Amino acid sequence: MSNGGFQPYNSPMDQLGLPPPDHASSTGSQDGDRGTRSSAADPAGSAFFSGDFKKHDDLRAMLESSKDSQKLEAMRRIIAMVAKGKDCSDLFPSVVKNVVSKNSEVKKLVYVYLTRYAEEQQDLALLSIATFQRALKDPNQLIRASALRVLTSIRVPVILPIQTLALQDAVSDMSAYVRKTAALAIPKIYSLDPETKPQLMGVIEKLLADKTTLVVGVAIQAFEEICPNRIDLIHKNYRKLCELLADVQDWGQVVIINMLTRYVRTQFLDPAQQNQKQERQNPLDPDHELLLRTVRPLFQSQNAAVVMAVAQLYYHCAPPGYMNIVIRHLVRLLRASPEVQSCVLTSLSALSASSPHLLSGHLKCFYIHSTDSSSVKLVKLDILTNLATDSNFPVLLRELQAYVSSPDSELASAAVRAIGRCASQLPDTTDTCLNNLVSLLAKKDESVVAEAIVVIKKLLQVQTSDHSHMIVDLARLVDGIAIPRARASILWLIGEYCDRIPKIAPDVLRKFAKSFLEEEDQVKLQIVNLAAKLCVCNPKQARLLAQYVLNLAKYDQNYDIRDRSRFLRPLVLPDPSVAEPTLLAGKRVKKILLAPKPAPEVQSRFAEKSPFQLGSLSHLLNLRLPGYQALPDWPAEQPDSSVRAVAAPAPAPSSMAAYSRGGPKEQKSKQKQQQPAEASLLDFGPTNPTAAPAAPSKSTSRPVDPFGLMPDDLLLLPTPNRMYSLVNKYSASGLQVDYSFPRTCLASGRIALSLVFTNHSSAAMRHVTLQHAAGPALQPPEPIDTLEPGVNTTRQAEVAWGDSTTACQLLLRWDNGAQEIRASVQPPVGELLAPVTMSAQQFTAESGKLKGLNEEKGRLPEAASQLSDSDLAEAVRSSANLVAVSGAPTGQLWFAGRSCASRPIPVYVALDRQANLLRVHCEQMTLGSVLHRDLCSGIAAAASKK
Amino acid sequence: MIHSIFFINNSGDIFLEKHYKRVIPKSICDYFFEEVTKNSSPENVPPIIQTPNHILISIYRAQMHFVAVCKSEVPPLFVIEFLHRLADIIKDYFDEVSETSIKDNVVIVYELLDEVLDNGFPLATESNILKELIRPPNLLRSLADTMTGRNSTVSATLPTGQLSNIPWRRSGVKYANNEAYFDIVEELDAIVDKFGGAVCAEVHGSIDCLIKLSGVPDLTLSFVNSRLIEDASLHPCVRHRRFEVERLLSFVPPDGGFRLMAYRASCHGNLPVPLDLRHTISFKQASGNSGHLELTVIPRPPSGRQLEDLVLTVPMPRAVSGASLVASAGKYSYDTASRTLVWTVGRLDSQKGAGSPTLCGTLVMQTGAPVPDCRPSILVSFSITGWTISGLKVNRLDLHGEKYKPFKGVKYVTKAGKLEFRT
Repeated sequence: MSNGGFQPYNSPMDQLGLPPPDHASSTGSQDGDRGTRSSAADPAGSAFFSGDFKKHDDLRAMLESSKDSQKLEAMRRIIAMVAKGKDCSDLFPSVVKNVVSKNSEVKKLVYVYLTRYAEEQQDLALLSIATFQRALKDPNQLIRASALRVLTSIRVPVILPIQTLALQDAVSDMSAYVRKTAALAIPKIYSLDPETKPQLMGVIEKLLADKTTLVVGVAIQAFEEICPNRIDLIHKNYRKLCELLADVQDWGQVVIINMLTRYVRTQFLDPAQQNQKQERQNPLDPDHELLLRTVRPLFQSQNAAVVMAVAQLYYHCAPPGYMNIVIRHLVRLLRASPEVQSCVLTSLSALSASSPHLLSGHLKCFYIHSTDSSSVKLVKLDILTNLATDSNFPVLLRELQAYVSSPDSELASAAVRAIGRCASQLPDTTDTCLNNLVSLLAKKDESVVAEAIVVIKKLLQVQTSDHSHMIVDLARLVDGIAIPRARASILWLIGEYCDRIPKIAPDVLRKFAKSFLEEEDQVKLQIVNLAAKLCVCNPKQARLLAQYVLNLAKYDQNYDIRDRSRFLRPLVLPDPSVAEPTLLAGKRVKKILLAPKPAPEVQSRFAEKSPFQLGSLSHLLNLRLPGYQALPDWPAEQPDSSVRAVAAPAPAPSSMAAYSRGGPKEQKSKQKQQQPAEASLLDFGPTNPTAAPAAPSKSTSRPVDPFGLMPDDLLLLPTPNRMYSLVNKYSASGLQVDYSFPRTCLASGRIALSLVFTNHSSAAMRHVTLQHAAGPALQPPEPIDTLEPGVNTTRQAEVAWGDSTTACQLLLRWDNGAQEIRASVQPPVGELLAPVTMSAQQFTAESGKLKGLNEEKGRLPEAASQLSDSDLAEAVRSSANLVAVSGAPTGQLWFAGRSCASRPIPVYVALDRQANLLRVHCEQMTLGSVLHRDLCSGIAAAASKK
Repeated sequence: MIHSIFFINNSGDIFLEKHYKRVIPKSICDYFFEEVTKNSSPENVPPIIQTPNHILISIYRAQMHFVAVCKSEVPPLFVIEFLHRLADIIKDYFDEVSETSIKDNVVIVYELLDEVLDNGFPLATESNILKELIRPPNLLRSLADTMTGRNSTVSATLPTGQLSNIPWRRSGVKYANNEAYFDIVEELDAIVDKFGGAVCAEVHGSIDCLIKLSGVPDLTLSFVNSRLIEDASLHPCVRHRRFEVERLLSFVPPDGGFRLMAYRASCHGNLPVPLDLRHTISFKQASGNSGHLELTVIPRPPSGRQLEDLVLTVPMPRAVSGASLVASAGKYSYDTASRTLVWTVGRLDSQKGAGSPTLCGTLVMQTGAPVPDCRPSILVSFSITGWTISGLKVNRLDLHGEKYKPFKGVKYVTKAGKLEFRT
């Protein structure tokens, strides 16, 4: 049946070519007549019905059919149900079978289904694992990557070892896309079992060294989720990250910039502070400046998250002069979607509270449009108020007045509050504001009037001058105002300033005493307050009224009011029968009730400097969220800035110490040291060209062993100087070129080559050059001007082999180009390695991680038994540039090294004499197996020489 | 970062969900619905909602809420931008973002959701790459598939763009007709106060392209007056250095439609708002229960151009229950549910001397309600083609790297952005 059309869901049997009436009874027989074409319908129609078992049976039948089109159709329906949130877990057995499907969409959908339900059906999910393991070795990178994705997304703890193994393989995959998938898989494995952290750290370290833009962003994300505090892992990659940043995908940029913000705060000095100490000098560390420079173009990103990330980096880490750029670009984001606008405004509001001068030039950007969402309006208003100064106040006030008459009553009341805040911020404007607020009292909108009264109350409290006329106005208004908050505010004002309006106050009390029962609780409380205050100030007129009010309050339903009345009564209406104590209180009661009260503070939400990183979710919610990494304080002292150096001029001191024991060769080694301009830059430290470390020997008992005296030290043997022939004298008319590997590991995967040119002819050769023709890049040796007959000259060259053994094609010319010959150099695998010194514990731990497919195991050659430990070690060392691990158990010889590629791959070799085994641990299987073969033949050759 | 994504329509129906880590039950959305009921309109739902254990970050687009559930610290703009990108991708695939387009293509959308995020972190969000991984529905293609018997919308190979250094461009692009179109759209954001003076005015422009060019074309777009461009944001394909130094756009474009640049036009001095509005709106009249409204539009388009698609919208206070008006041009409607008056004037021909269209009449007030004491704003939208308000003009477009001669087109449009007249 063709795939052209799809059937409506309610009659799937049609698709199987069966007559519709039978379709309930014939679920199993899908081999019926397939001639009929189903009618066309939408593949994933919106009409999906709830999980009826019979229908699921149909799907099962379709999944088990042999036709891809039916499987696909069934999978599409299932996925549509999953998307809808319906439970389809009962189909798991039928679905999981199709994981081997050849159809890429069926496979994709099965993968999607598996990740959703594997956790619920752990045992059945295991059936699919073998397929993924096979797919991990597929030549197609997309298949490898998606297999890894799904395998690591299956949350089944049993397969954790398989996942970890797959991850470790994928980290050194050729395809950057697979490596990216691997980086994304790290947090998945970590969340499944946090115990895997040490192993994952190794993986992260490797990924951090990756130079592809595709990988670095996700690698940093994994770093942030697993070990955000291991800033030391970043040092070596810092400059690379800065350089790659512009080309990384926008999502990666956000993550990297956020991480680098923390990095900068721990590694450099505060630029703002330094400015004060030493003027005019450029205070920025070059690396600090590098970051600021490379990040700056990203201000122009179309992704608001990137702009915000850059802005917060500049805000937290740049010298103060840069803030204008930050603000300009943040203001630009206000044009983006309303959600972005709302987030950016929150950040800007924090900025406007802490440093309003920065935003003052952008006042108009915060004017409120009537179409803004209500939260945006409120934040904008907050910013406008923060920006108020004496000079822009008239403009601002006009704007705020416009908001007061807006149909949005929430905005209108907020605008009234904003006027009040302006008044308290700018003391000079208080009068203008108060007049304005009073004029608002004539408005018809009650909420605005109420808000105005509350604000006036606050302002009057701050104000020291006399405003009795205003209070009188308010007292007149009180009848027309229904909002309790406003009524309560007026009553409080009258009570507080009752001495200034002696005529009106008792009258107000009289009115309210009458309506006491109908009032809201907060108004009642204020009536009681007013009664008490008046009773103290003006007992003649108010005493009876107060008594009446307190009596009413005594029997109120609300206990607060009852309490208040009980508390105030003995103060203001002392019981004559109990004389002494209350009398004392009575003298001071005026001081108690009419004590000057502190003015309320009107503040912006962000008045206090938020401790959170600008633009973070924690900052927005003003709450520390899980996973938030606090922004560290600037260090007081400049931390070592050389840690970021990728090109170290001298080898690490520790390795030097080890090499310096190679006394006899020291002089020569000095000469050679001048030769490689760039020595190794990698953590492990380079080996000295001539004095490479050699195998230690555990067999101290043997008197023949010359190194037995120092069993645990790194003993030095001369570099096995095996010569290979590049060009022989017969083919090149008398010129012979031999080469050897001086075993200097240079930067970025280049291998040093020592070339010996010998003139076997009778005439001098002029201008001998060696040039690159094809294959890995060559750093050619210096040309030889004249090569006299019978003389030999040594030259150095470098070839960027990395960890491939591709032949490097060379072109040898002499006599000014008259003579020319082609040649090629192919390195033995062992020469692509560099020794790594490590302890026995490290060796066991590290090699333990490289098991299974990463382990090449085989028998030692028979002849090995004839060799002593030291001979065996020498045999290994002559075939591969490795160093013995000290402290290996007796009967075993361990060697460690790594490839010289830019992304070093560790290599571990273990010889077990008792078990007669030779094991090579290496992630790269080809490298491992070739090395194993070479070692075996090397040992056999050494034995046959004896 | 993102744990789950829910698509919710306006009637509160969760019609699609996708989980990237452990499954989070739908009930988490109850917190969201709570906020929805608290707020009068869906636009007012706060984009970030805090719940006891999760944080919901949502966007509202095309009558739908896209809700992302997060558990820990994450840059909020990251999630918001991602959700918008997701909606953009859906739009790119099905020509529109709507509940029906998603429901009709639920499997493809679900596949896309699986591809854009892995473990909650964005994986592939370039629609050029996605389209190679998952093919968009296309009538022609589905016909061809029927004939050839191919049956999969999922590609089996990795799009080459992923690994190239121009990841935004699809490889192997071929067109019979090579075309490149540029739309320069400028929007005027302004608030005009009741006396007719502009309180604030800004012009924001964007250049949207539709590029259908074969091979790997390298384009250079230069402007006559590039100094007008301020605060630009650029598509990643634009070479930043050249823009900074030479003020021109040099880029290898993605295939299809995309936004090349957005900018703010520097307009020192007064911006000419191309129309004027006279208005009287009062909710109280001496006679009975009715208000009065009179609106007059005085068009001031640049010479030789016309105001088109002119629409005036007046959100009225709740107390206005209806309107009986007479429009001298176009037609008006009053939506009693949202209390909005919409006057669609349409095209204004300035040459004909049609004068100034007016809308005038009475507003019916709800009986018993207090007379509102507020001043509604009048929102205006219009467009003028063939003209940019800032005066920005393209100088030339050069093509390098390919031999053919493409068809080039530039269109200028000025529109009203957030243009508002206060009364």
